[in-house]
This record gives sequence, structure tokens and C-alpha cells, in this order.
Amino acid sequence: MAAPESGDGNNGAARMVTLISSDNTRFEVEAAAASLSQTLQLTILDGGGGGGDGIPLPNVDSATLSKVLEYCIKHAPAAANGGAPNATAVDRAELERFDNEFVNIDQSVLYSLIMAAHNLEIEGLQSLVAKKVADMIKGKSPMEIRRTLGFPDPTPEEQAEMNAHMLEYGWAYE
Amino acid sequence: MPSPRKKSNPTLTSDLPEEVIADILSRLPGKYVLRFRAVCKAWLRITTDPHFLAAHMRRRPLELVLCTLLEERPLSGDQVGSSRDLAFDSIPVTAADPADQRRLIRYPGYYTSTPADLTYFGSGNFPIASCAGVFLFRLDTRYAICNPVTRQWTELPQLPKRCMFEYGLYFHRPSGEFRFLCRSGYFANDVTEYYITSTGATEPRLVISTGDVDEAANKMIRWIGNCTDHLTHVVLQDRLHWKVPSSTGDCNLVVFDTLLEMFHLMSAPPMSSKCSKLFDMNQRLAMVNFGLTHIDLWFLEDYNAGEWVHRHQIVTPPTLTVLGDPQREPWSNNYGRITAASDDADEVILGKVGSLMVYNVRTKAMRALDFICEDSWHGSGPRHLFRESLMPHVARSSAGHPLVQFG
Repeated sequence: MAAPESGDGNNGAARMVTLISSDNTRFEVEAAAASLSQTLQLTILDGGGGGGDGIPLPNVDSATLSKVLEYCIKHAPAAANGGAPNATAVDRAELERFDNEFVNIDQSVLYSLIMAAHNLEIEGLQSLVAKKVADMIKGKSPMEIRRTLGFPDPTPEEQAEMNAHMLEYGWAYE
Repeated sequence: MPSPRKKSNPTLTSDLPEEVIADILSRLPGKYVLRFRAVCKAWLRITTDPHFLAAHMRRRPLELVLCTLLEERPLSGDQVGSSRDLAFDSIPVTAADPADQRRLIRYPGYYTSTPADLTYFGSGNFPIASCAGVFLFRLDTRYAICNPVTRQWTELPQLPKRCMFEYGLYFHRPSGEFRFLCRSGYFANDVTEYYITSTGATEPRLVISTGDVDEAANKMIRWIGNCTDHLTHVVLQDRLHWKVPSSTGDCNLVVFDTLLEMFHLMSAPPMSSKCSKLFDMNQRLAMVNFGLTHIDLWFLEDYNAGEWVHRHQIVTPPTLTVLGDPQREPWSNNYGRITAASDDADEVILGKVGSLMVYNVRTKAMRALDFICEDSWHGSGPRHLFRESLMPHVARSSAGHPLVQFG
């Protein structure tokens, strides 16, 4: 056992775990950061992911996982503080700045992130990405949404229903 | 012929799990959810599901309703003169960003001024109560509720003519109905009867009198219907709470249990002035008292034991000292405009028309909301809080009112 140096955790240096992406890339990360994932938390509490083992994540590719971990590492200290009730305004502003920057990304990356956050159950990330997508679609018409989301063109019957809805709820289209 | 669109890869496609789509849509203001019901059948199904509607409402911010007189416009055509619209706008209690102010209701041509005359059509069609996403309107001798987002109107079964004291609008969870409690009996010797009229019924129902309370309590309960901000009662734990002054100068709380349909009294904290307001902070009953020198915040720590705890004392900012003036009578003009509201674990909005402050209970910091501009005369009615909802009213819908326009 290494002698405690930093006072970080009980064993001195922070405990590390290894996560393995679907394309077999290994990521070594502090257990506290990975534990933001509800899915991983139990495994990590049971002592998993340490040493040469690693936790395989067959649904998350390396590009997405590195993005997810970037978020977790940034948010882990605040989360350890129990949602950071004592965080200073500066800390909060910095996290907010990070979050805004973080979701300023391509739609395809956003999609992978939603799925990863959902599968890994990372609450903060889920809500951050969901909010971003909500903001993106807010001003659009139903037809624009269909196009943005890659839906096939509506059938004549669907088109008629869309028109009827617009007539009935005109104010919701203003 | 439209060609089938190629799926660009990978994109936000329909293969997102429905719970993820629901989570995204539940973060949108009601107007957009309403619009996106036309996107496809799956989105229509998701956004009309009762669980979705409940989650969506929980995510809507609590908003303060402001009454504003809009800019003067010349009359149309050959007429000489001008008119002004009156509007009810809302602004989130926590965001407090001028950009978040939006129009809920508009009264076109509220004031009309010609060389010969100045006319206005009075406050008869203004919303008199707000609850769970709907406003209550008094339209001549009838009452109707309307959801400004879905614009569904429902007229309430007509109350007996002698039923002239309004008590409270509430959402009755077990039945999913909106209910409205009223009282009859004008003079002290008149028989006092309480009626409930609701969206789910065809006629009003006579409910129990005042329950097991003594004459003094009875008096207090009768008093509610006469006070100016009676329709801004606090709903918590299926109960309506009103603050009433007692003969000793202190305050009492009158509670109506909407499940048992009975009144009872509850203790209130000691007050240093006549100017106080009951509100709900984080599902807890709270009371603010505006004094000349200090503003006190009390919280009901133990609901069943009626245990009030004094948590904060704030130096009264100069703009609010008028509220604590001992010479001021509770029924004086701007009494009804007092605001206290919270939608957050930390922040509470306090004050009156024209001088609203935000107090943070964690940092104990106070800041002014000076951008909120409101017409002080029309803003003198009850101060309503509003939270959007897309929940449909059980019951038939009815036609709206020509003078009330939304958006």
C-alpha cells in the first residue's frame, strides 16, 4: 500500500477503474467519476473494474465514451459534494460554462451521447443532453422535425392529419 | 412523387427509445408539446399519456402573473382617439429574466379614449383564481375555467344566486375534477351554506357546514369570502390554507380539507405587523411578515404538530417599508398585491407591485427585480401564480368568452 499523500480518499491516491469501449479501447478513470453512472456504480462498489479486469461497455464506442468521461471527470468533484450545496458561485458558473460548451456539438454525436447517458444512467448528462435537444427542436414545425429526425415523408393520410391539427391548434404554431 | 428520404447516418432518428423522447419533450413549454403532437402517431401517444402530462407539469416553472397596460394605439379608420390593450403576462418565479416574460391573456381596446369620452370595460372578465394550469373566470353570473395553453374552456354548473362569496378553486385529485368552493349568506343571521361546483358535475353540491368548530372559528371561516386575497390560498396536502386575522391582532390559518370537505383551524406564527403572506416553499407552508424594520420568514416545520419555526430575518429594504406601516389598514389599496412565492429550494420572491425582491435562503442574499414593470392600478387585484399544464379537463368543453383573448 502506498502511503497516503494527497488525502484523496482513504487509500491515498484515488482509486482507478478501467472501462472498455465496444471497439476495445481501454479507458482508465477515477472510480468517483465513473460512479456518476448508476449502471456502473454497483459494479464499482463491489470492487469491479480494477486491476487488469476492466468493465466492458458493448453499447458505447470509444469516441462517445471519451466524451462521456470528459463530462464525468468534470462533474465528479461537485457530485461528491452531494450536489455541491457549498459550491461557490464561481464553481457553479464554471460548470455551467463547461456544460454549454460540452453540448455544442454535432447532431450525430449528440445522438450517441443521449443513448450512452441513457444506457449508463448518468442523470446529469441525460438532462443536459435532453435540454439541448429540446432547445434545438423548439422553434420547428412538425414537418421540420420529421426532416431533422430523418423520418420518411408523411403519407397523404398523415399529411391530412397534420393539416387538421394545425387548423385546430393554430396558436401553437405561432 | 416524393422519393423516400435517405436516412443520413447516424442521426436523431425514430429509434430513440420512447422514454428518451418523452424525457426530451417533457422539457418543452406546453405550446411546443401541443404542436409536436402532429409530428407522428408515436409522439401523439407519448405526449397524451397521463404519466407524461404529470411529468411535464412538474417540469414547468412556477410563474408570476403580471397585469400590464400596453402602449397607446390610434383608433382604426376615421375615428379620432386612441386605445390601450390590457394584458396578463407571466414570468418564471426563479428565472427572473425579462426575456422569459410572455403574454397569457390580452384584452384588446381595454381603454378607449376619444375627444368626447374615456371608456374602459372594467375588470369583470379578469381571471380571479389560478390553479393547476387553469384560470377561473367570472363571466356575468357564471363561472368558467380555461387553460390558456390548450385553450379548453369548461363552464362550471351554475351556483345558486345567493352564493356570492368565493372561497377557492382547487384540483381534486381522486376525481380529476376542478372544483370551486363558495358560500352563501350575506348577513350574520343568514343561513351559511357552502357549495362546491365542479367540472365533473351537472349541478352544484351543498357540502357540510363548518364542521366541528366553535362560533369564533365560524366567524373566521365566514370572513374568508370577504378578504381581498382569498383566492390566492395555498394548496398543500389536498388542503386549502387561508390566513385570517383574529380579534387579538394575531393571525390564524383556516384550512379546508378537500377530501373530508371540512374546515378546521391551524396555528399561525406571531406577526409583527398586519402585512403578511402565506406561501408554499418546497412543499412546506411558509409565512412572510413585512415589518417596518424587518421582514420575517417562518416555516411550518411539523405540519401535524403545527410547529412554526422562525428561520430568517431580513432588513426591510426602503422600497418595502410601506408594507409594514402600522397605520396602514389590511384592506388598504395595495394589500392584495403582496407577493411571496417560491419554486426552488433556495429562492423566494417577495414584495409588492413595482418592488419585487428575490431572497436566497441559503446565501441570505437579496436582490431587486427592477425590470418588472406593471401597471400599479390594475395590478391591485389578487396576485396569481401559474404553472402550465396540458392535462385535459374531465368534462365537456364550452365556448370561450369574446372579451378574453389568449397569447
